[in-house]
Amino acid sequence: MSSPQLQALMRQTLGGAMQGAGLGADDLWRGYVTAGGSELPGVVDDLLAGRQALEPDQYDCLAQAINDHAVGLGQSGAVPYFHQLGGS
Amino acid sequence: MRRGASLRAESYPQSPDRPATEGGSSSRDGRIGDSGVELLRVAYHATPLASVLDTVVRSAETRLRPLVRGVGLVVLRTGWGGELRAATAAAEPLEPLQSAVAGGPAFEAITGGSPVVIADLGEEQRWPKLMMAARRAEIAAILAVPLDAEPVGAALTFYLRGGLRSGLSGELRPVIDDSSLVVANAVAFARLELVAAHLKDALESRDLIGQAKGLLMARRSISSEKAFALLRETSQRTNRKLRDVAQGLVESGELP
Repeated sequence: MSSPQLQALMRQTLGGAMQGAGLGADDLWRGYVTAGGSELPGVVDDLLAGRQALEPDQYDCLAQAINDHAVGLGQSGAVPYFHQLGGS
Repeated sequence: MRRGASLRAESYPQSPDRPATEGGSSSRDGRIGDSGVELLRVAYHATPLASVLDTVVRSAETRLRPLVRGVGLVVLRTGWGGELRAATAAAEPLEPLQSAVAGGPAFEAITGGSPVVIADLGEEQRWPKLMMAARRAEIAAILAVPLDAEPVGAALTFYLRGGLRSGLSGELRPVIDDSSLVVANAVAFARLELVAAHLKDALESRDLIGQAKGLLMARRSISSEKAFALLRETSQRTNRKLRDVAQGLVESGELP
């Protein structure tokens, strides 16, 4: 599991990017599953709210979902992956 | 802003007098009569959500006749954006005068989580267009009640024929409870259908991504994780969706 600082950074990154891309919880979950995620919608809500720890793979799938959504809107998919956030 | 004309529901008068009812299917105390049974018969799997909501307002109006002239319904926070509306014929011209932007008793009831009572339309200052239209439609009072339909926010607006009077709360309660249940179930069912449709799309995309991963693993002798990371990094570098990168690889055999 990543450090509390990295957990907070991941959530902050995802939350800000979701807001910036105008992405709702349902669409995020759909994109997350498309990108390889396997958790149910309620679990994804828990991950984003900090009720469960985010694993790097889960974070990457969520980042990919937001980036794919942004690309679909003609924007740049700028959410960094886990290793680009400083995780290892 | 003057707010004196709007009262909390618990403050409206309580005394035992009740009006006579008309029509054979409505019940004087709002308990499920013939028209209320319509709610129990809703087949969620076979009925579009909009039709279910129409049934809710129609049933409420029938059960509360002659107390109400019309009934409107607003549903927010459905999970897929936007809002849902339904209104009986008498409420149809009035309901569009309430909106998230302009506000209105239903929106305030949802936000505040408690009923909004407008006992004197002439005194209410907040929603002048709605008040004017309601007075022209011979509405005496308006009562907006939030429904217990989590996770959605919803409220029924009752356009009352007569003024507020005692016993009103007890007459409305069964209708409100039944409506809450039906709205919550209908929205939950619609969300599940949407999730199922999304899953179908997602599984098709994942199949494509799986094929692309398989190609990379075979050609480059790399692990599944490495192949997936390569696809993701290509998606980021080329600003293309992961699914499109995978499709391009499967079709052309090459990564961009």
